[in-house]
Amino acid sequence: MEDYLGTIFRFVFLVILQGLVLNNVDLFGFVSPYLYILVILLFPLEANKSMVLFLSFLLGMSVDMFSHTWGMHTSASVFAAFMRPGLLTVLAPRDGYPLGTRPDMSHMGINWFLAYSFLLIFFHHIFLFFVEAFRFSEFFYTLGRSIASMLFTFALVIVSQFLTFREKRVL
Amino acid sequence: MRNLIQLIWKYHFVLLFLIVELISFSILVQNNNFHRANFLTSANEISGNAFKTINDVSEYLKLKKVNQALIEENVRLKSEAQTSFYSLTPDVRFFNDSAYLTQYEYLAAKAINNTTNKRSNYLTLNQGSRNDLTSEMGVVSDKGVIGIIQTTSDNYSFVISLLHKDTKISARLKSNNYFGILTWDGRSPSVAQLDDIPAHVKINVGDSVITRGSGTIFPPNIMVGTIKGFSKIEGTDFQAIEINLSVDFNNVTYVYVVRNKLKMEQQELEKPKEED
Repeated sequence: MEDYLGTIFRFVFLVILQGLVLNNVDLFGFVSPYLYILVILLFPLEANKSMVLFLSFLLGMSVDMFSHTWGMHTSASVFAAFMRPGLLTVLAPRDGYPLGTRPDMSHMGINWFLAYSFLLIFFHHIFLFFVEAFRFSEFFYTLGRSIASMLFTFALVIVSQFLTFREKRVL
Repeated sequence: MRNLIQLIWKYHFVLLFLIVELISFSILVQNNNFHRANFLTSANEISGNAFKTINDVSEYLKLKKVNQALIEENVRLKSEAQTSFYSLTPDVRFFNDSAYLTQYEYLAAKAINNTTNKRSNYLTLNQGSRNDLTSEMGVVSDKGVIGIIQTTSDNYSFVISLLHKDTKISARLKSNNYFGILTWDGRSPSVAQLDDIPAHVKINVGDSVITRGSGTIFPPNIMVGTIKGFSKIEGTDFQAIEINLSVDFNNVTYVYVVRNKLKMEQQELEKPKEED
């Protein structure tokens, strides 16, 4: 229950933060962080993946609503939610995820979380920026933009994890 | 059916993803001008390529029709070309001098048909009665005598070639004034015969034979040919003379039709009187 409340809170908070603050951050003219990916990152492990897909769809829609980029964040979020189960399977510990574990730094450790968040942010941003460009003719420019923003987002995600770091492991 | 449901269930996440992603993209394309424009451009490019391929194929299938159209156009253009037109103002040269009265007018014409291999040969000229050509007019080329117009239509003339069984042209030797009748025996298109030259007349091989101008058809002194050989006809007082024609009848193109302006006067004068 706590998980779902936390998810809903994160959802609302990050959409507002993204829409009102982070969308206005524009480093070097082309680097923007998309921290709302954290919602998708931190969905509970036990959550139905179809439900995650649907919630990601809503998340992207909400972000799009704030940034007037209809469909862009929606499609990228849906793609990230689609990649997430496979990614979790690849990164799963040998014995599988312990029951009640959350996919965050405090539960899975810093190395696991770095790999997990980096890869998911990578998928999300690549998709997002190519949808935004909507062409492959400027491939390397688009790739450069997405990687720059990805690093920014990645840094913010790690910082946010440290801010909400909880020493106690919930077992 | 069960298998299908199992299959769908097996891949329901992928299918769901594809559906949701499709919805996202439709939202994207619907609402963003840039993406819509880009999408339409890409779509147009794809459909345009498809249309182009279809068009290429159908064009190939239409080649026959196109060929037909091109042929028709060619025919139209050819009939509009300069060479297709019949000149209503042929080259006619006048010599205006009050001290002389122009007797002969020359009118340029082109032989558009010509035979040499028959016993009686004819030419067709591209000028006719529209330019006042009538029968009994002489036809010459720069090399010599060609023939006589037999009939004319509006735009064409039918010419009795010198190579004809009925040819009788009054010709004379250039070296003296003895004259005979030029005929053709039908054997060679380059050799004609000159009859009625008296046996005592001294001639040489290579002497020129020219028109006499006694009739109303040819002007005098038009080249006919050169003497090829001669022999006395036994039992007569005449000699048989072979003439190399100066005109190569196998290669006649540009000719001149001679119009004798005094023809009527001469004929009127020479006409046998009824009381005779």
